[in-house]
Order: sequence, then C-alpha cells, then structure tokens
Amino acid sequence: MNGAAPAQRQGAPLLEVRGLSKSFGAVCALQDMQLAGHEGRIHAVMGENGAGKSTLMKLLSGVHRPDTGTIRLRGRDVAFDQPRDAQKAGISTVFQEFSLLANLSVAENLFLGRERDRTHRLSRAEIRRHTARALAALDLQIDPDIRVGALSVGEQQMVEIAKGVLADASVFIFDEPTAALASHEVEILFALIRRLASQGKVIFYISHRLSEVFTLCDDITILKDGRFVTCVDTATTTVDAVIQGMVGRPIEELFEPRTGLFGPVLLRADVLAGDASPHPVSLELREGEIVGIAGLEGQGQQALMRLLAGFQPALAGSLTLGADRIEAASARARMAKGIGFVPESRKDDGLFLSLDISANMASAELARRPLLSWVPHMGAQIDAVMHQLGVKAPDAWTRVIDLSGGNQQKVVLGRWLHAGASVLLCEEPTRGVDVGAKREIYRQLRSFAAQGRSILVTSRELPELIGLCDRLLVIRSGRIVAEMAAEIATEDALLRAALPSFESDAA
Amino acid sequence: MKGKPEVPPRRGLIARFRVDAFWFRQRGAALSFATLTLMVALLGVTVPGTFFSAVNLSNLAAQLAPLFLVSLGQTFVLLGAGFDLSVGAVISLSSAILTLDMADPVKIPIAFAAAAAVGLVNGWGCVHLRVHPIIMTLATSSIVQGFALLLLPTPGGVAPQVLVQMASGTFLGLPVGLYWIIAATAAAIWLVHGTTFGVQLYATGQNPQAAWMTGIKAPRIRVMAYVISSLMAALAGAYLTGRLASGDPNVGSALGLDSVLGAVLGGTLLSGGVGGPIGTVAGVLIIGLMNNGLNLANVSPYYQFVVKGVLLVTAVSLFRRKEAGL
Amino acid sequence: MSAVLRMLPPAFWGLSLVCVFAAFTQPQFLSLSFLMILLRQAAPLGLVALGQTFVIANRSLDLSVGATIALVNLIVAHAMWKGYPPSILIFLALGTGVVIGLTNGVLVTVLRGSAVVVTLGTAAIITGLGFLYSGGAPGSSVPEVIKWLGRGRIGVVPVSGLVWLTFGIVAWVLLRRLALGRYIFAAGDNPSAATYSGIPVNRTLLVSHVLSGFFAALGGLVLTGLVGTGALNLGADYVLSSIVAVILGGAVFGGGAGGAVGTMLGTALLVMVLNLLTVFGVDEPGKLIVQGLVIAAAAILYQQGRRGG
Repeated sequence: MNGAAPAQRQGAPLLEVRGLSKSFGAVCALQDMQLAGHEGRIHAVMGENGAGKSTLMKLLSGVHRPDTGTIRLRGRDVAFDQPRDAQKAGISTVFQEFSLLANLSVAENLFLGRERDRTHRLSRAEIRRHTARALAALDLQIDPDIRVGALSVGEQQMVEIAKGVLADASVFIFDEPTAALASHEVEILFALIRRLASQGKVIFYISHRLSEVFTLCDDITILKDGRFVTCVDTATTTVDAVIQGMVGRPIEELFEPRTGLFGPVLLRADVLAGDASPHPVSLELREGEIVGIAGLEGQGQQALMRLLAGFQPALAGSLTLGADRIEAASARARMAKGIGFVPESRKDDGLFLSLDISANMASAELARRPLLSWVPHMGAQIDAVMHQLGVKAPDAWTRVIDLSGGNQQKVVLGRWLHAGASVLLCEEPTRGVDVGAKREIYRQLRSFAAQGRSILVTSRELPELIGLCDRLLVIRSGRIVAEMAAEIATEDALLRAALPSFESDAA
Repeated sequence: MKGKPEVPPRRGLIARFRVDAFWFRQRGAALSFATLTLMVALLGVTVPGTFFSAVNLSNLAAQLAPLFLVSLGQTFVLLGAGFDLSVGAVISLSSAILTLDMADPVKIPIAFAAAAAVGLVNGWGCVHLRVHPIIMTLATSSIVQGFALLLLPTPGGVAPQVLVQMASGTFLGLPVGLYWIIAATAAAIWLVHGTTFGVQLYATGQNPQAAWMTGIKAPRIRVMAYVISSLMAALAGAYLTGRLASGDPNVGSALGLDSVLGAVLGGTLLSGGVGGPIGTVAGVLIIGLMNNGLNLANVSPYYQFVVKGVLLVTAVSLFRRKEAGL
Repeated sequence: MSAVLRMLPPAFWGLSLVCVFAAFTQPQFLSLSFLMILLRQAAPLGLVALGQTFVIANRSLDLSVGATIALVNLIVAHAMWKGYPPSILIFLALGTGVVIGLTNGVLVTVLRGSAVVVTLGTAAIITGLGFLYSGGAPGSSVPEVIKWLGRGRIGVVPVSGLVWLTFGIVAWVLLRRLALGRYIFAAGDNPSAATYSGIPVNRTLLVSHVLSGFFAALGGLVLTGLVGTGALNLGADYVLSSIVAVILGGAVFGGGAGGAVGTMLGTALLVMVLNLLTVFGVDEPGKLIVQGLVIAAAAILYQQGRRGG
C-alpha cells in the first residue's frame, strides 16, 4: 500500500490478510493475497469472474482453509477450520450460493446454529419475535413461518441477508448480494449496509458492478488472476482506472475476431412457450452466428435454454432446426438431430467425474445409438478432438476428476464436437475457468461457429457476452426485451435493458 | 418479481401444507393419520367386537412396542438423509448380550455401549469415510449379526429380572408395552421438535453442505442420528428379551426392514429433511393394524407378505422423487 | 499403466492374496478337483451377482433376488409341472425373473420409488406369492435337466460353471461392448449428466432391473438343480452375498471400474474365503463377521480411491 492510504484509513485494520494462497489441485485460485478491512468502511473486492474473489471470501468465512498466509483479526492471528469458527469470531457471510435450507421456515433458517442466546435457549416465540424484527428492518413482509423453498429467489436473497445481519458480527461479507434483487430491494440493502458501517462494522462487498461499487464503497481492492493488484480509495480513483486494473489487458486479446459471415437461419423459435417459461419467446440463430442472452440472475435464462434443448416440454409455438420441426421431439431426439447442450453446473450436470475423458467425450455420440448396438473403437476420434481442443491430459484414459476446470469444460465441449452437433446451447461457458483456458474456450466456440454452426450462450459476465457474441438478446422476467449487435453493445446499455428500474416504456 | 409479497394472515389447510415449513415437513404424517383413521373405522365396522376388545388392544401394544422403538430410531437416521440397515442385527446383539452369564448391572450397560459403538461406526463410515449408508450398514449388520451368533449360538440364556418385570404384564391396568411406546414416542418427538438438535437434523438432512456453511456441526449431527438409531434398537432388544425372558440371536432379523417401513409409511422421505416421529407413530400403527386386522379376519398369513409389500411400494411411490435409483 | 491398475477391482488383489495364503497353509485347496467343487458351489451365486452388477453399476439395488430365487425354486419343484417338458419350465422360470425385474424397473423408474424400498416391497410380495403357490409345502419334482444344470459335469468341469462362464461373457459384452453398458456406467456415475448428454436414463435403469431379475431367476434354476428339491426360503442369503460380490468386483455406483469380470472375481473371492474359513473351523458367526469386514474394507478403499486424485 506504500503509505498512500488516505486519512480515514489510519489506524490498525480490524481484519488484515497477508500472503494468503490457496490452490485446488493444479489450479492456483489465490496467490499471495492481501486485504485490510477498517472499521466503519465499506470495502469493495473487485475482479473478473475467476479472479479469486469468491475464494478469498471463502477463506475468510472458514469454508476453505488457506495453504499459506495469515488472517489477523483485531491484531491476532486466527485460523478457521469450519464456517462455524469464522462465525464465532464475528465474521458473517452472505454467500452467493444460498446456504438457506429449503425445508426450514424463515425463522428456523435465521436462527440455525444460534438457537442459543448467551444465557439460554431461545424459545420459539422469541425466535419468531427476533425474526419479525429482522425482517422489518429490511422492510420485508415475509411470514416467519413460511418455508424458504416457497419463496421467490429475490426473497430468499433478502432472507440470506437478514441472516447475516442478525448475526451481530463485526465483519460482514456480502458476496454479489444484488444479483437477484429488484431495484427497490437494492436500495434497502444499501441503506442497511451503510447503517452497519456507521456502527463501526467492517464490510466487504464483492461485486463486479461498477456503478454499485462507486455509489456504496469507500475502498476498492482489485484482484486479477488470483493476485492482488491494488487497493485504492474510491474518492481518488475513476471507473476507467478500476476497469484497467481488473482487466489489465485489451479485450481484443481475449476474444477472437468476429467473422460477420452468416448463413441461413439454423434454429428458429416462434412464440415458443413452456411450463417454466410461460412467456412466448421468438428467436433465430443463423449459421456461423454466436448469440448471447444477457440478463440479471434468474430472469428465465435457464428455463429458456432448457425449453430449447427439450428438457421442458413445449406447450405452444414452434421450433425449427434446419427444415425440421422439432418442438414435439424429446430432448434426446433433438440431440440426435444436432442440438448440443452444455449445462451451467459442470460437476453436477455435465461431467461423469470418476469416468475417463474418453467416456465423457463419447457419451453424447453414444447416446444416439440403440441400446443394444455394438460400440466401435473411437480412440482415434477422441484423440483428435482432444488435440483440437488442446485438452491438457496424459491420455484419454485420464479421469476427468483429475483435470482443471478449464480442461473439464473443454471435455464437455468436446463431447458435442465429437457428436457433430450443429447448434450448441451453452450455459456459462467459462464459469470457474482460469483466464488462459477462457481464451482457449472462446477460440473454440468461435471456430465451432465458423464451421457453419451456431451457438446460443448465456453468461453472467457482460464483457464476456459482448466480446464473444455477434448479437445479444436481453431477457427480463422470461421475456426478451431487447436485442442489439454485440459490436455496438455496452455493459451500460445491456444493464439498462436488463434492470426493471430503467424501464420507462412498460408494455 | 413482486417486490412486496402479500402475506395473508391465515392460510387454507392445503396451502398450509405447501407453504408453512412445519406443516410441509409433516404432510406425509397427515396422510398417514388419515389412512390410519380409515383403517380403524374399517376394523371397527368389520370386526368390532374382537378389534376393540381389551385383550386384542393390549396384545397389539405388547407386539408393537419393539417396532415402535426401532422405527422411531430409524426416523432419526432417515431425517438426516441416512439409512440404517443394521438395526435388526443390533436388536439381536443386545438380546445376546443381555442374556450373557453376567451380573445385570454389568451386562445392561455393556449392551447399550455396544449399540452406541455400532452407531458410531455406522456414522463414522457414512459421514467421514463417505461410504454409501446402505453399503456401510449392510457391512456392520453382517458383523454385528456375527457377534450376536458368536455370543449366543442358539436361543436361550436368562434375561435380567428387571427387564422381565418391565416388559411383561400390566402396570396401572395398562399393558407395559404401552408405557414403552409412550415414553419412546415422547422422547423422540421432544428431540425432533423441542430441541436445537431437531432443527439442525432437519437442516442437515436437507443439505449437509449448506447446513455446515451456516455453522452447524452437520457431520456430528448425522453421526448422532446413527447412534440414536442404534440405541433405540438396543432398547427394542431389551424389551424383547424381557418379554421372552430369554435371548434370541435372530430376534431382530425381521424388524430391521420393518423399521424402514414404519418410518416411510409415516411420511418420512428417504431423501432426508422431511417427515418425523409423529408420522412414524401412524406408520407403525398402520403396519400393526394391518397384521392385526388380517389375523382377526382369518386371512392366510401368507397374504400378509403380499399386503405388506404392496403397502411399501405404494408408500414410496406417493412422493415422486426427482431422481430414479437408490 | 496407472489407469490399468485403477481398473483392476479390489477382488483381483484379494483373490491373489487368498491364493498365496491358501498355497502356504492349505495346498489341497488349490487342487483341480477341489477348485471344481468350489466352482460348482460358486456358480449360482455368480449368476445372481452378475445380474446385481447391472443395477449396482447403475446406482440402484435389487434386494428381491433372494425372493426371486425362492419363487423360481418353488415353481420348478411344484408337482403340477410333472410331465411337462422341462424347456417350458425353464422358460417359465426365466420369464418369472424377467417379470419381477420389469416390475421393479417400472416402480423405480416411472414411480421413482427408492430402489431399496421398492425391491424390499416386491421381495415381500414375491415371498407371499411363493407361499401361496406352494401352500407352504414345497414340491420335490425337479426335472433331471435342471438337476444336471446344477450338479452335472462335462469331463471334470461342472455344467453350472460353464453356464456361469457363458453368461459372464454375455454380461461382459452387454457392459463393455454395447451402448447399454456405456449408458449404465454413465448414468451410474452421474444420472443428471447422463440425461443432459441425451442418454435414455430411465430406459437404461429399467433394462438393468430386468437383467437383474433374469439373472436371479437363472441363478435360482441352477441352485435348484444343485439342491435337487424344493425348499422354503432358498437363496435368502444370496441378497447380501451378491451385493458383496459386486462391491468386491468394484462396480459400485458407476465408478467405471469393475463389471462382469470384476464381479466374477468377487464371487470367486467370496466363495474362496468362506470355504477357507470352513477349513479353519470358523463357523457361521465368524463368516458373517469376515464378510462384513470385507464389504466395509472394499467400500472404504473404493471410496478413498474415488476421492483421491
């Protein structure tokens, strides 16, 4: 920090992190990290996806243990074996992935693990009273007895936040808390965070939304590729400088050039609607085109992808692949006709972790064969796909559990290359993938499209969508509300279309 | 997304089972109690004299007590998303230990300590070594059954006098089995609905990882569920040993699977986090009344197998799961 | 190389160890004639375990194999079939197995019942039906052909051993050479990923259960031939033993390892160990304890290997 800290940051920080490193297998998620949280200040932690923000916060909240480095709280070294230890030390985390239990009520969730006061066990009535008060503080009208699984995503997020606030901690970590919130909820949250700061709490606020960070935060720590870049005072920096620190390289380097050469329409959805996506959607994918779907968290991206892939039955409208009508076909039949699907959660829905690369890559091609058909030897084709994608592994018999995230993602992509898919429906293509592998994946997607096929992509990363795609669709509440060419699209314009608050010409 | 949800002050009965957390977890139990009521009505109409006779009801209580104990124990494991196939063997083991040639104050604690040890091993294997519960408890079941046969090769031995007194006859005009049932049920309901452990068990069964992230000692909770299950099985063994006044190394063999049946018929889901001991009460009574009713109606005992199987299959098919398989 | 080593099931190492141990302590154990006796004894279990391999590799379980064996036995030994050609009887027995497997499969895939509870339920139903059919008194008219299947020899080799080997090859082809096997291992490892790859997960699981029912019935036929008469509760201990053989064979819930060969080695290991224990004067209790320890050890080893890397 070179002594350049502004006046307000004098004094020893309440929480200080030094030389923190963490690796997962061969992937180094965080290296020699530093961070200092001062009382009463809201400290933003920024970086691209995969820059190590979430890993850092998971180390602070006791989910992971650091490989090296120290965490000092009030001048004393602390080590957390489990989240419980961090919570006892006064660090409260609002996780990005919900840690709420769907079968418990709001009240039970809020008091889970702290049913005990300092002196006695809280009675059910007390818990309800405390819950009602905490919910009221957030301006939430939610019944404390309601099952969390019956709440909307936004409500669940607010309950998650209420839980963090209720913990009466000295350090609060908010990991992308606004991802699923409506604008007025964001306002309530910000007011609450400012109030916590005014009470002398240390707040870490993880986000990649620049506008939020600049309105809310006092300090900004920037991470890149798992390393500390800089820590600056918000008042003395600019948006451009922060972006420069986060990206650190011209965007053109990361993405392949667009070809701009499109063939005829390959996939066309016409007022297609399903159970989970009741609003009819129409869209077209041309040969050679990569189309991105932008939107806030949980606006129906997933439902749309799964409707197109056939995992949700179509209730109305039509879907055409080439010359074939396929809206009545099952997912399996659509895949046989050339639709490929890359699910968002690689480990849960994408990979056969304890099987080898060969079995993982062959699965989609094999799935087209009858149950009792002879499986030919496919070693040469698999090797060719591995080589083409640059999968880093000794051979095709390596288990995918032993691969890095980037290589695992390449295996999932390779599955559809091997199966000869003509349309790829790709959810979050670079989630949990390091920067080098990201570039490789972008290159592969572009070359896939260049062969006269097309790709539909969803991503939480707006820069990724803008850089990767030819055309962008913005989805809000299950409706496609805007469309723009990626060349002229900006994050600002996309967000404007995606946020309900910017809506002026409501239909 | 609606910003401010309208919260109706009171919900209808159906909505309550869907929305209200407590009722949601007990919806299976409600169904079981409805079934039970139908069965009682049916028995009351078809064989009123014999079914409601004092002799029949007290026989029923005496017969059902062991199943109550193990099913309630199994409920804890199922709530924590586990599975305990070893309870039958633990019953047999405790019966074998309790009829060893030893002083009562020595062998009774040993029987329960042995059961607790089995529970610990089950929990350690399933939770810390991550062996699938069915495989882990299958293995311990075999080992424990082996030890039971080693200690007591054939039925016999002498039961502790105190158990014989506690497990036979009547007390204050009611069969003693009923007191065992009431005590075990009350304890189980208190543990699940009246303690911190209960809420944490529901949380752990729903999602162990998320529960751990909220600061619960989820692994310990799951291990505790296995220990409780084993201890309840040992209690069932003690009751059976007392009632028979002698030991039997195979006394628990049929009860192991019936314990799962009782809990599942009571609406406890194998996937964890939903159900509870209240439902298990209904589930066990359904099994008991079915057997009792078929006996009273002079139906061939062979049909009881068929009816039990059909009940089991129906019960698990009622709540459709997301995934097929185990 | 490490990949090859990883593919070897726990049973391979166990069997090597047991053979070395037997060679030093009980050399007569490894004589051809005794091994053939072991083979005859292992064949029925081996067949049942082959069927169990399909369901366990598919992340399911079949606890109704014991009841299926018992029912097949009661059908085959029933006096009412006297005078009918044995081929009809064999067809009937195997058909029963297929119907049971189909029922299990439909309940597990369509109604999504837990396989443990469903197959327990069907086991109870099958047991009851068996009792009703036999009236509690099993017949004793087992056709000669079936007795030959269970007891006969061709040269020194038991017929049942040949049946086991033949169907072992069938199972190996199904699991390792046909699309079905790839589906089974994929769906067993991760059903969700299998669905998103376009694999017909439900149909695969259904076929696995049908195969398990068929193999259980086949095992029941051979066992009936070996026993030579009808018996109540025949094959009750085959439920546990078949699962043990599969676990020893390494085909646990997808995993990719194991399969037909693994399960055959697993069966051989289990039968060898149990017989060795008999030779050393260890009774039923000791065998149960050893069996349990072996399952636990194999499962723990497997789980640790899966986590590592």
